[in-house]
Amino acid sequence: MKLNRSPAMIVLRVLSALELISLAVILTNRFTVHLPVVTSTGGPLHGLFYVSTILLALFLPLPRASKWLAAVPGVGGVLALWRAHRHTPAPADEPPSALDVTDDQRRQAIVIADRVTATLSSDTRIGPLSFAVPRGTITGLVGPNGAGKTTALRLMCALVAPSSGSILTADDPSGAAARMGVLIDSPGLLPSLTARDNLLVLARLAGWQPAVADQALERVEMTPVAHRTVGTFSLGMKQRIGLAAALLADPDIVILDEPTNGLDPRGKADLRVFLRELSAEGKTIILATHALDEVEELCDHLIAMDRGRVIFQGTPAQMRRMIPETILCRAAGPSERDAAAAAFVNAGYAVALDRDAIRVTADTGHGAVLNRLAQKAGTTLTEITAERPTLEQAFLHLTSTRATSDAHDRAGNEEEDLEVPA
Amino acid sequence: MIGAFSSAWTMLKRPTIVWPLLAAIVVFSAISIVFTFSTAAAPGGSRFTDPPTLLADLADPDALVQFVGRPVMVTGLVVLAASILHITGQYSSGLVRMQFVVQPRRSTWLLGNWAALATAAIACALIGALTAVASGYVCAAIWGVDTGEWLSGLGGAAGATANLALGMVAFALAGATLALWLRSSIAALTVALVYALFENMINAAAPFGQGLMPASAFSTVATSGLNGNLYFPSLIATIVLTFAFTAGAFGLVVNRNVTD
Repeated sequence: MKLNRSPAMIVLRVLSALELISLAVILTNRFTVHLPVVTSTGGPLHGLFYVSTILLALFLPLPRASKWLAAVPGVGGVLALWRAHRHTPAPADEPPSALDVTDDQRRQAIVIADRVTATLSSDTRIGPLSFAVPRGTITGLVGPNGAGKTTALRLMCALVAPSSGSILTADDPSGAAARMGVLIDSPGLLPSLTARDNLLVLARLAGWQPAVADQALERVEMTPVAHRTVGTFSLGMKQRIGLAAALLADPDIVILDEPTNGLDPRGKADLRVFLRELSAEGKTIILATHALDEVEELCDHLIAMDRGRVIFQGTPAQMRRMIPETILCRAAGPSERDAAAAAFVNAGYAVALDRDAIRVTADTGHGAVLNRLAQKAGTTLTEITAERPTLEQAFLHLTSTRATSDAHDRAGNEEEDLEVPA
Repeated sequence: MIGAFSSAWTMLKRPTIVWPLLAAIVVFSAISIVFTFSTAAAPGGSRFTDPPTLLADLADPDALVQFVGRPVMVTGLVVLAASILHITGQYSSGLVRMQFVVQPRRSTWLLGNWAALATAAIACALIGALTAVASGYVCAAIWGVDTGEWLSGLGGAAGATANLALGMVAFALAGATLALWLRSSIAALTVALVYALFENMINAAAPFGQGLMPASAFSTVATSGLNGNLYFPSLIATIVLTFAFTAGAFGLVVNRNVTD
């Protein structure tokens, strides 16, 4: 149910109106007829409406500023509603995006987000987000700091309620809802409890057998230190216990947020091996990170986010293809280089000269063709190197394109504003 | 529900909470009784009560009732602080996120915590009462007070212990609600202390409200009304306020964006 149409929101509207009306009646009476009955009953009633408005606004999922505004005497409810209305996204009004989830993606997905928006209590908004996480993959959720990756993860595991849209988890093969294990931000451990007790806290809360804690500890090879307090552990050991917590009761989906943060190279390598093992067992792993080398090595599906929006979803190869491949050719000297470059241009290739080299925009399979063209032009190439774009280059290209298009949009809007006749 | 209680109890048993809590209750309960005897032994009796309490008064059958209710304010504060630390520890460590994923029914999580905190508060009341009674016997032997009539007041002491337990449960749940709202132990403890001062000022300015506001209602019940306020209005106020705090806590936790 949308917040705007929820019964609590309707009650808040009524209370806000009553708060305002009762204030108007009291003030009118004060400056006109001075009826004692209005003074004696209006004051307490207004106080009741005022306090009720504040309390209701406090418990409703409104932006934080709205909650504070509700405390303004007399008009607080109206101000709170106005502020909440201004900050409510209206995704339904937005045109369908090319990044919406296709039917094909939907069929293979274990998590599907459909035009989801979320407003956090800090008034930060993300969305609308549409993406699909294919079942059984290691999906990388990438983006710069503040892109909304962690909020997207929190939406997936229902820690944050969507303001609009939906985010669904598909059933597992037995028909039960897919189980999730998460490791978001930090391992979430109490330092004065032992490793085993930390896992028991979660297992008991979920109603699982204590044996699952022992199995999870064994899985991450931490059984020997199960009875040591977590406060004495290194960061890598804590991260392992966090992983064990995420793996309690054998989840179908494992959600990890920056799991290699703070780990030494050895720890990172161990984690990568471990994640591959999990993936081989058929688990879906969703990995939020901004380490693109890690993504390149591990992930077979990617969701890229920037400024609260999904800007790409597909395989790493598809992302790399978003920028053209190039072939670096070197010739024996400047005259040979120029001759070869002219031959390439005549054949319709785009070239860029780089000291003694020529960078040709072409698929990497065109190396032999370029060699033949150079030979026909009477020169010999001393080196032909295919340059595949890295994921990092593709990602930077994607985000800079988006920033440029946003800047163009802004400039366009400003121009339009200027064109409005005075 | 039993699982949620067991989970919360595992957290409450952690050494950083359980040992300071037990030590504080035992030490403050014992000190308050030693203080009662030492001031009563002074010439003219204790200047802290009106009329002054004399050593001879401590031989009365209702002495045990007084002993049980003596360390209430300090014990109440200790229980309140422990429940604040218990709840905020789950938030500050990030554990609450994992808990809400493995147990999406947040009301179950809250009920488990509430039951564990109430049990701990009752245990604290029992330990405090036993320490107070034991300290009373030791002090009576030291100061030469006859304890012959104390046994006839055991029933009253049991009732006083039940009242103490109820007051401690109210303090614990109030602290937990405050912690759920503010999610920071320092902020919650500061608000609790500032509020206690504020309530004292209000009670001084408007004595008719004494025993009805949270801190004074809880301490009136915990002392079985020996602090000068009427017991039954305070009992009703304590029950109503505890339900109100519980309802407020449910409202806060069921708000799904509680972990952002």
